Amino acid sequence: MRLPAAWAGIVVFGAVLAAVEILVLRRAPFIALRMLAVAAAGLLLFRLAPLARLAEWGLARPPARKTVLYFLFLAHFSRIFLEEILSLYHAWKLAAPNRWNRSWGRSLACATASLFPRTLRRAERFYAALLLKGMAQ
Amino acid sequence: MNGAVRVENLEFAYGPRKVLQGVSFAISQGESVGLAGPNGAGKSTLLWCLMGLLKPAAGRVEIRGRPGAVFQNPEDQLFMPSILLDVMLPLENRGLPRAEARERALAALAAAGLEKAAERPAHELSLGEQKRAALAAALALQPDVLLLDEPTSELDPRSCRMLSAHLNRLACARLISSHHLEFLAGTTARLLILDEGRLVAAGPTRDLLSDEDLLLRHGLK
Repeated sequence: MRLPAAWAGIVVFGAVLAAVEILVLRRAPFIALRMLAVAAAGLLLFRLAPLARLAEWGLARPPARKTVLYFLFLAHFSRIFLEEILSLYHAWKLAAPNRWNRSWGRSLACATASLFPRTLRRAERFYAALLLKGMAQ
Repeated sequence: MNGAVRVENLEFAYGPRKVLQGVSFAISQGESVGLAGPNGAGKSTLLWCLMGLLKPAAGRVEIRGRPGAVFQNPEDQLFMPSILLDVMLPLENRGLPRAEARERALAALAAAGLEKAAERPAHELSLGEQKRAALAAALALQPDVLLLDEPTSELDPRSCRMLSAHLNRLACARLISSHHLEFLAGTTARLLILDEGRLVAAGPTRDLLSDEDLLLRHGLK
């Protein structure tokens, strides 16, 4: 199953975000909680709703078109994000098999940090594709 | 401009690192040209400049008509709930009525041998099918110039053959960037070799690919 591993990554990412909010910004971890809530709601929606049918229905109606496209892009980018988390998680597990030593924590921190540039690169290519499809101008 | 593509003294840099230096070439209408070079030679950057996604630091890029492009990772280009909607999307964005866009998208998918997969999302398809779907989406726009970045990367031999046959049926000008020399020999008449951002060789594909020294010197063998 791909999902639990990807969720482990989201939870780790949320925990890092929460730590930053608590320790650096000195406030309750609203952003981290909101991110986890949106991820959970998105997953539930993805599992329960006939998305392809809904998207096709919405795309055929000009008032709903932009909103549907927005959610489709969001869903696509979320999938990219989950894929990157999953591949990093696998790479990290292979690189740091022994738990609870210094390199284990350091490699986890490096893997989490490298998620940002990797996701940004994918986002850049996704944006380029949108431009070529006549969108995002 | 008579040809399909003209590039003159193209320069591009990522910060202080020069990626393209004085690159010049032209592609005639309907011509199929290969672009080879080692990793980091600047092939993808050149394609992105041709697509208009990167602005060159100097030089000129002219493309006659509309370009179409297929990225190395087709998943970055296919993001709708079905590949049919993926192919329809740019057509609708260009103002085509929905019914006509659907008809053209279905024809493009049929030409790529994907009519049965039209209603499936890209992530459920094999990589070969995804590449052909991305190609169908580019071709549905009836581009005058088609730009392909590593179209055979991670494809099995059968998928390569199918892609090669599909490309050879096209009438538009093509620039195909690849490390796969056999594929380039089967799909292009002329080859450009790029190394360290410079165009180091250009000529008939068969001639350049039979020059062992040239290929070894530029990391292609």
